Amino acid sequence: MEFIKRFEDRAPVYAKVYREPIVNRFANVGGGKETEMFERGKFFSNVYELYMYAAMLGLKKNYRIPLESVETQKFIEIRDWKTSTELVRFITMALIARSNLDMNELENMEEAQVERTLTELKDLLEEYANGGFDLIYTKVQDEPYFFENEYCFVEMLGEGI
Amino acid sequence: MVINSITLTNFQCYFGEMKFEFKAGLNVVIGDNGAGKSKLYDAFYWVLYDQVFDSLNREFKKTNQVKGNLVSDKAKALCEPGEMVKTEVEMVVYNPKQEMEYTLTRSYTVSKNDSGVLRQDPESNFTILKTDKFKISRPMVNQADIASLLKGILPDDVKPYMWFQGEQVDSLIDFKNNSTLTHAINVLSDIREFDFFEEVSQKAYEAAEKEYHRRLKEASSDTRKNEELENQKQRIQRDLARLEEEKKLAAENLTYAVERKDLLLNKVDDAQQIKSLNNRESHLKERLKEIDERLVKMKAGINKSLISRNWILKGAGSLVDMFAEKYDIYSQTRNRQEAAFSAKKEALDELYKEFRLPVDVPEPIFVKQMLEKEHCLVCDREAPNGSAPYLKILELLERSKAHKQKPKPEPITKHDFSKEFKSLYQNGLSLQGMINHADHEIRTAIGDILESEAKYKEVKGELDSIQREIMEAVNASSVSSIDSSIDIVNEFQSQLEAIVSSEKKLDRLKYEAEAKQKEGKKIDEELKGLSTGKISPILEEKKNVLEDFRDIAKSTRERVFNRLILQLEEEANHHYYSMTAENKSVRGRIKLEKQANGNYMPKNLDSEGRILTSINDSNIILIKLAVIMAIISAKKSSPAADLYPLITDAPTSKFGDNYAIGFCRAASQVYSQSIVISKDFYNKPDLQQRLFSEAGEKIGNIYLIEPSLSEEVQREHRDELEVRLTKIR
Repeated sequence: MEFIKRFEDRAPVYAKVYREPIVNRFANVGGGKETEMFERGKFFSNVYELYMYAAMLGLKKNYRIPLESVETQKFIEIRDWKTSTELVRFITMALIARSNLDMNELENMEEAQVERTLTELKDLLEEYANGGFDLIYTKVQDEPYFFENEYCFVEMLGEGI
Repeated sequence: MVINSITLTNFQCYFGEMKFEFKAGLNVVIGDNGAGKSKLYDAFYWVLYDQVFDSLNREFKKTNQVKGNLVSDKAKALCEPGEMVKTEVEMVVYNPKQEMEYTLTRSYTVSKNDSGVLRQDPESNFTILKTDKFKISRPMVNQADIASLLKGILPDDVKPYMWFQGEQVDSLIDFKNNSTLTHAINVLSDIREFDFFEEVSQKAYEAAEKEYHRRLKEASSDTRKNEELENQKQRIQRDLARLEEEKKLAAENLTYAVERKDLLLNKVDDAQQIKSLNNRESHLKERLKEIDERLVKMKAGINKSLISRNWILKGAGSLVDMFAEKYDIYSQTRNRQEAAFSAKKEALDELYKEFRLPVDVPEPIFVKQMLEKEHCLVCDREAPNGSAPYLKILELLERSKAHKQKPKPEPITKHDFSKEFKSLYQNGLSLQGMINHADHEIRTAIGDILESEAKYKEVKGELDSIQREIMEAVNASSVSSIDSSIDIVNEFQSQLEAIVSSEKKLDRLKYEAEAKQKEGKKIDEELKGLSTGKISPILEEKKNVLEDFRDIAKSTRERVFNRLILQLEEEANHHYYSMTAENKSVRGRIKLEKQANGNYMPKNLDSEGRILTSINDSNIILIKLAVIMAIISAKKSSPAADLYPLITDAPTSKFGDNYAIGFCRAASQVYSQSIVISKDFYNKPDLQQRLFSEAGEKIGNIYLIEPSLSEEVQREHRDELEVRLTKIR
């Protein structure tokens, strides 16, 4: 599992601009019981769950925004996204599907090239997540009341997909 | 006594001199709010008791506490520096038996010094002038005579029942205090004389009994035995006294429990209904809480399922397909590469596969020995140098060398991620089923939430409706709140239990007392048996006669009291019916009910003897007034009815016209003189006419009092205030 392990050792970032309006608002940053967390209006138990949600949103819509020249916020390595390994693997698969990566070529690359490719794949994850955050942020701006709904993120899954 | 007149000079709102003359029978002073009615009542009080009622603090105050406030503001305003103003109330009373007239005058003075500063006297001044039938007047100076006269006009203990304001009626006959009626009867009847007889007879009997026993002891043949029996008897008497105390206590408890039960009786049905509604409310609140908690969990769960149930993959099936395509190309290439690699490897293997024996078998050292010996040690045959067997043996040695030079095939690729790519593909495929099913799961979960929300709304609706019902029930009932309804039901239950237990206790105490009395009598017999017969039979007879006398006094007092109660009840109902004659609503019947502790309580019963629960405040006041009147009228021989005038301020303030007329009519019949101060007849000429005709020949004088300030601007200035007095009959 060298390829997957090396990819999951990487820690992706997100645009800092989303920290307050999205991440801190919807993800349970401080911990606490799940029901209490929900009553405080937090829909995700961890930041990485929200990140996976955003990444999948971008991946499904094939909507990505590069994070060039924006201030970013780092968080934990992918290997520590413990809630669901199968989801993490699905995202990895989807990234390969959406990327220009030639898997056969990859196997014939020099070590330094493989490292670069893995970093590019992580960058791609960040871009799709950034696209997802952009979609959420736009919704927050356009329809603030939408997020008063207790299962807004479930409903949002069905939109335009 | 009859009050002939009262004259107010500069007294409070009465500016100048105002004289009210009264006759025997019903006198009425009519006035609107603020016209000076209560000040007139104050004037009666002040002249006799040197006190006025402070309506702000709800208490009587003496002159030295109110001082200049007694004096008319207008009179003070008109008082020039260096002058003085005197406030005065003069009341003339007449004693028809003695044919004597008394003029009671109380005055109080303030003065202005040259700078206009008001100086107030510390106390009022009081004089009484006694005028006989020959019109010879003398001032009364002897304090004992004055006290006796004042007592004759209105004794302190009778005062509350003869002179009262409307708001005091409640406390005069308090339905919550079962000794109030007994107290009133004691004050207004001669029943206290019987109490005195009872007390005297008891003491006489005790003395006779003591003497008898002393003699019995002296005449005893066995003083030791006698002493022993005496001791036993004393113990029994102590026990009897203790039992009597216990009986009193149990009777008090029983009375209280019955009284509370009766009071609660009219509320308990409402309270039970409210309590049952309250139980339903609690149940619904619990259900609502459960649904709410479930909803919170469901809603939290639905968000959790985004990750735990992989819902975020909803609609991501195409990504699996995309990867599959890519993976297909990859795996085909990979397969080709692997096939080429296998072919190369197989060729090499083939190349080295012709040898039957494995490489280095037999070991080269043995092979070399075989070549030197030209003999095959494996098959034990000759192998001469250059022969075919010799060459075969030599080949074995060559093969080992050749094998060491076998080329390794080139690796397929530099890295092999195939297994990882495959696992990613398989992971995608395994989630494909869930991706297809996500929509259904989400719909089901949201459906469950919507269903629970609908349930929540339904239960909330039920709860709102129950709460409305409770509010309505509380408003429509005599119960003030839900909490008190629970208290009422609980207390009603506990009072019922208290009644049963008190009754049982009373029965037990009665039985114990009877047993003790029998025991006492037996000891008496034994004591008597010890006597040598030297005791005078007169002494024994005296003891027996006094015992009978005591019992007679006791039962007579009880009989008289009970007869008085029956009479009172009859009179009270007579007055009650008379006062309520014109009103057609349910009024019930007054019943003076005996309590376990011997006291009586007025109850209002329906025709079937059940306590009436639907009577209004006016009826309750009327019942109280009827009972007070009954005490006066039932005892015509009592001086209370004949000699003391009734003076009452606003007794009918809570009444409608019919009840007001009814009260005045009854008062005119009961009291030899009554002075009723009221606003009920103000500006009601028709009602006034009814009053005149209803009271008939018992009507006395009727006055109208009105404030003189008519202009709006004047009403702001108390300095202009005075009262206009008009005699309208």
